Amino acid sequence: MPIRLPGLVLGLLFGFGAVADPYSTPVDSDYPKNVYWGDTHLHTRNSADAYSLGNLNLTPTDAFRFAQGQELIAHNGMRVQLRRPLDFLVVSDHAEYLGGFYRFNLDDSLVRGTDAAKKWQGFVDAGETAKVYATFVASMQDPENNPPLPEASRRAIWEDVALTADEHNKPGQFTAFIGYEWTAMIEGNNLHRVVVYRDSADKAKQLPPFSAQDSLDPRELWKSLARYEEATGGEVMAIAHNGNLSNGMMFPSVSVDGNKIDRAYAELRSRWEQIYEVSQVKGDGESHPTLSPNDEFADFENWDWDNIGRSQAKEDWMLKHEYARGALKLGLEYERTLGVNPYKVGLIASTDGHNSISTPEEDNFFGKFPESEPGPERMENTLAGRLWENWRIVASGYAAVWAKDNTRESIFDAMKRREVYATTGSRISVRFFGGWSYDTDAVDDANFLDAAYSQGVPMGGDLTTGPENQAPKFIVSAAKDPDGANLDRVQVIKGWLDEQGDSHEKVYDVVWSKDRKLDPETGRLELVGNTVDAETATFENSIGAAQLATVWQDPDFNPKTRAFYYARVLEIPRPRWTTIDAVYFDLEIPEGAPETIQDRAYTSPIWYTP
Amino acid sequence: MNWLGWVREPILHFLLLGLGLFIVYSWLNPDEAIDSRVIEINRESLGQFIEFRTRSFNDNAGEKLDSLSPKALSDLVDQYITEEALYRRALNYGMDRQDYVIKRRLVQKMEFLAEGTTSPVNTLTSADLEQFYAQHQADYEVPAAVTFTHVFISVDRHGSASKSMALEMLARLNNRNVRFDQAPNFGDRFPYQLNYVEKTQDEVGGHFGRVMAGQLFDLAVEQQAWQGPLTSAFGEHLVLLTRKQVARIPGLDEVRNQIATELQRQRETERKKAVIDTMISEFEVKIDPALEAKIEIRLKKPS
Repeated sequence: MPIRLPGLVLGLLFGFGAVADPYSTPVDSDYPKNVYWGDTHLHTRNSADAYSLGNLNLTPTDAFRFAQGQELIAHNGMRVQLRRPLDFLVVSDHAEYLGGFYRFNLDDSLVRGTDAAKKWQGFVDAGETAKVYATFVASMQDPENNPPLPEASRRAIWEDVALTADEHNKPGQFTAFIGYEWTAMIEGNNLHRVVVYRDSADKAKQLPPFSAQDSLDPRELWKSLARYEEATGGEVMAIAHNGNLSNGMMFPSVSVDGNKIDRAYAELRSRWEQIYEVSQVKGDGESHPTLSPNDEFADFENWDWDNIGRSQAKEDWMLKHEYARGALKLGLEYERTLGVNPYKVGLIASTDGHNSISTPEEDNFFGKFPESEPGPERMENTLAGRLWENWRIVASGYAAVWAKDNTRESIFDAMKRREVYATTGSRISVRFFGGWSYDTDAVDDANFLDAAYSQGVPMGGDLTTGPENQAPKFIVSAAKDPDGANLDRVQVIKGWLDEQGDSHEKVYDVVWSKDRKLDPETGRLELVGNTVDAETATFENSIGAAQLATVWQDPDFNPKTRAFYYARVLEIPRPRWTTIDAVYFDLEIPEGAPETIQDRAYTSPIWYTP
Repeated sequence: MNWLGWVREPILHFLLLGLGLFIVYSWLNPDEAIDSRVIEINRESLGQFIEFRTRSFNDNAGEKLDSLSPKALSDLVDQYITEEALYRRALNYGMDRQDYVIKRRLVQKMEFLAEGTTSPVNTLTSADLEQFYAQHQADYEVPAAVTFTHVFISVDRHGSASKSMALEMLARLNNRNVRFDQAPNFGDRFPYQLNYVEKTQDEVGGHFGRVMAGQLFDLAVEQQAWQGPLTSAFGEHLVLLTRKQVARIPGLDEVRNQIATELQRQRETERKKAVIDTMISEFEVKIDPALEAKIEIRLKKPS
């Protein structure tokens, strides 16, 4: 550790000896101590699809107020409130016709008379309002025939969006990010990204959002982000989601122009996309049973039938280009051949709610569109009236961020350095560190974070050459949601390249609630059990543990090959939202819907590079 | 053809000028408001037409009108006559009543106008703010906050012995007069913080659960005496609670901006509701008795 030594020496000379306390007091714990909970992906009536599907009145202001704990009347007429407010929120409305439909319907001067408005008016006059909605869907994949609103209108609408976020941003208390969604879709395949700003409106407003109507190629999106930073001195990042609905295009081997991805692609992507939204209302995307046949928990709320346009059925080859674990493995392969890892992503989750209401928890879940807000019909009707059955939607998830303060800067920077993790709707707290010299009982020390940070790297970080003949050690420390379900187990998921360059994966159970053994034949841990009573939609915390922590050393380490490690924390089973609805509305649980769910957390990985 | 033309109609201008009820009535009875067979061209109608065409809404529409060349003015009159004729024809066809899309748009437009979005309430006086503050100051309460450290006994580690261990620990801490800064030397590692400085009940609840947070806020301040044990989902906690800031109502000046925003929002909501209520009150609702037996008609005019 040659870099640390001079610091220590200087500290001895000028710090410790001279005065009792350091002059600059923050240095004595210069690492993030707080976990902040948020949603980086929420839509309001400013999104054309949300508006078309009934979110006529709930604005970004409503979304920010609700996130801060205020009560709201949902579209179904019910009062709704968060049990625990969020710490931060990105309102990320679709950039395509952003604010356009609702302004068109009100004959707003920013939209009136535009080519788009004339086209929509034609459909309205002909009584074909469904075609108005269709222009939004078309705008995401056929920009030539569905051009955007004029730039002056887009700028004015965007300024309004940005100023609204500023109005709700309260440094230290609540962070309201400026953001939007670039919603490109190619032949029904989802390439969507949420763009998040570190900046205030004074910078953000200077360039309008980059939409699918500008380009369907993610490389063009990334270049637009570079132009924004160049022009304003601001900072932005892109967060992709729903690889599971991309039919193999989210973490591709060929770019949208049909050419194999190259170093330039990898450099651009890794520059702009440090994290990935791994779980949300339209399915969990950590892994898939076909990709991970030895992972008994891979079959979790997967949506694997087709793409978002429902235009093409899923094929097995696509999966590794869609799920986070597949992407992390591909990333190692590309790093070997291209010299840059295009898929070096940390993990967060968010809701993708379209009703301005961010509710990822099983027992307070208000769905995606107004039609999937609680009511006796919601388990039977279909998403957007035309997609999948609504009982399949997932009450998920949270973006958890380890940061020093609740500010745009602090949270954004943590996302950039990937010191973040995903949960599927529960407030599980989890720390994950990698290093070479951790004591085996490090987690027993009340001040273990000092050692964890000073002797290693947190989630999202990198390890490289360690001491000879030593394998890396990982500290993992998880605590249950203090008002939620106990913990079942913590696993470390390892992906690596063999010396031929092929990727592999393995799931290790590293610490679990007591009185269970690993099966000597299968190596699998006994299941934790189930206390759920589906008749009453309740469960008991009589199994599982409140906290699980350990120091784990990789038993299969090969110092010559690339690898990544991340932790997965499982809760004990609790009633899925559909079970809760069945009891509340006195209905049968729909066929195929699981009674229970084991909500979970996925940390960002730590990468080892020889 | 543009069905939106109707919103440029002069009758709506009155709404923008605040004569909501009269206009609503006119809108509901268009034939009374407009002689449908006569299109009048005068400075007033053209001035308003210009304003809406250009969305300029300045007071100088008359000047603008005067500055037009005879050719431009003729074009404007042509447009006006065409629009009026088509619009009135559409009304005669009953398109405003039969076409659901237009109906829905009309409803939304009415809501929009009732919201007053086009002319925000901007006449809040100091007296308004003071009155609102007097009525709602409780909403601006700065929540209570506590400062404490704790020694933690993990239930995962010690199981059913946790409680008795906690009681022993309590005696030890108090017998030795263990100070705030010495707390790290005792107990197990807690997943969140050791020291909590000026934290609200919500913040404490996020780490210890809502139940224990409630109990903690009920404790009295004791500079030297450790208290507890309190029980969280994680185990037992001995607490040294050294400061407690009671909830406080901030002065008006501290929250003046928030209050102005909220009062504005409230006025707009009230105004919207009043306008809509008045509109509804103009109607008598007749309901199928079979249906009436099943439901409550909340918006029915009291008879």
